[in-house]
Amino acid sequence: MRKGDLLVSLSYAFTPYEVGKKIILRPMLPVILMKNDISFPTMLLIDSGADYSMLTKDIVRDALNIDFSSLKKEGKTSGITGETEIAWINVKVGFGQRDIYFEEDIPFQIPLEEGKDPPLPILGRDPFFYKYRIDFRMGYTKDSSLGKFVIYPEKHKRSPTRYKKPMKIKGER
Amino acid sequence: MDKTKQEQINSDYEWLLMQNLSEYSGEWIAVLERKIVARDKSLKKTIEKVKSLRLKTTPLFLKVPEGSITT
Repeated sequence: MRKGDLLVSLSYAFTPYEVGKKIILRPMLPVILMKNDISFPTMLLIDSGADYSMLTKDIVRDALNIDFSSLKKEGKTSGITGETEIAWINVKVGFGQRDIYFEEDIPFQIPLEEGKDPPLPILGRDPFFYKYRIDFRMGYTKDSSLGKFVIYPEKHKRSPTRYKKPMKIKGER
Repeated sequence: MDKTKQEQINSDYEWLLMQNLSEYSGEWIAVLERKIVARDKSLKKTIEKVKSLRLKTTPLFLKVPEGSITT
């Protein structure tokens, strides 16, 4: 990570998707996926509701040139496409603006079964949200078709002792 | 990372925000210097088309989703 201790932020407009008569705003981050000597510029959906990140099979096979027979089944996951066997691969993700640039090694889940790809490649919470704070500012302007999301590197300066107790679940004694 | 490359990707991303991509629904597109340089239902074929163009810079690849609100 570069410039991690400075007050830096990256601002991106939401990507509008026209679905029927509605405009859906999605936080799509332009990135470069890097694996071995391959660089693949694409866009990842920042998904705060996803535990982990996930790539589609075509990106892994056709863009990153990874042989599926070399992937090891490492459990199952369930999402909106149902339950599927998955493998994991580590991919370097680069993104930035102006003279600010970050690279992170991100473990991605790969769905191994047909028809189980997410509609879009996803950047989930673990580990990305441990390293960056993301503000979703859909009401940034009065125009509901606009808005921005902002990415800040976390500084990790607060004491963890204040937060180490697990939250009490309502009704628990 | 080449700064120019990152800036090119960001510039093409910003250009994409202003485009109506409904005709590419369900397809992969490759964007470079504010132009769609290749398109296909298959990412593999889109990459092959881009390779045949012998471009100096790798374009930004994007899948235009079809019809689904949920992710």
